[in-house]
Amino acid sequence: MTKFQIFLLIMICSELVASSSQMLLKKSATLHYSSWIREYLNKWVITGYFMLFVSMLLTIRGYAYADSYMNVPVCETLGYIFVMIFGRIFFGEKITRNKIIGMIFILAGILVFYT
Amino acid sequence: MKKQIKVKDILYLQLIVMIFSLSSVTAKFASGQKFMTRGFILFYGLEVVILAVYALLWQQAIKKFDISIAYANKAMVLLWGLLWSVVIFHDSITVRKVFGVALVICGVIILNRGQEAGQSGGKDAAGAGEKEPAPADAGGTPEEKKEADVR
Repeated sequence: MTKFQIFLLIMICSELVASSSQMLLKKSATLHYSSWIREYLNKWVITGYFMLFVSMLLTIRGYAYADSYMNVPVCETLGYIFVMIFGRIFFGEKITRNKIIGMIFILAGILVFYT
Repeated sequence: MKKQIKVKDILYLQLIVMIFSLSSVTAKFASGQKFMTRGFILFYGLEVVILAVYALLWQQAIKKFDISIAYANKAMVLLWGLLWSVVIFHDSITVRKVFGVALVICGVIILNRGQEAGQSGGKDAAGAGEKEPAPADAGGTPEEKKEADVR
């Protein structure tokens, strides 16, 4: 494996974990809690942030294989796509025309920025 | 549209994104340090603090947005990343980068208009609030309807 392939693999894993964690956080945000603190201290949020922590460790590792500081945020665009798909699957969030067009602009902008 | 996202909510989301963008700066510093040295712990610790603040705010923000929309707003990290890379890492600013950021800003604006009515929270407070006036009165008074919209 080349250095770049290792970097890509680390970042894909990191983004999959991060995207999944967003689903847990959103799940918690749809529930009612008796107190402010319970909005944070519940199984969804704690698990979600643990996963985000894992993702963060992976990303830090990724930086070590990145040729440039800039490569990491490019790979994070994968997360936007994962979250849109997962949002559709787990919360029935419609993938509207505006979301798709907006996403194309965002991805294009990021590509233009980094290439 | 009943549940168009409010400007106030978008600005709040953008503030969170700015805070979040600082975490990648500390991550970059941390990665330059040897594992578990003082510098590593300092920068890594700082990143944890920034992410903790971000986490507290984020959990409130996603009550109001589709998760797909809230998350894609994090693309604005590009704008902040460009700023930090110039100011802190002394990278060069180019027309290309500015154009890229402009495209992302357009994309985020378009995407933020893509939330369908009644989609934001699933079964959250806003969703429940909308249904309340209906059983009380089939039509609902204009006041009741307005209240539901505000929520």
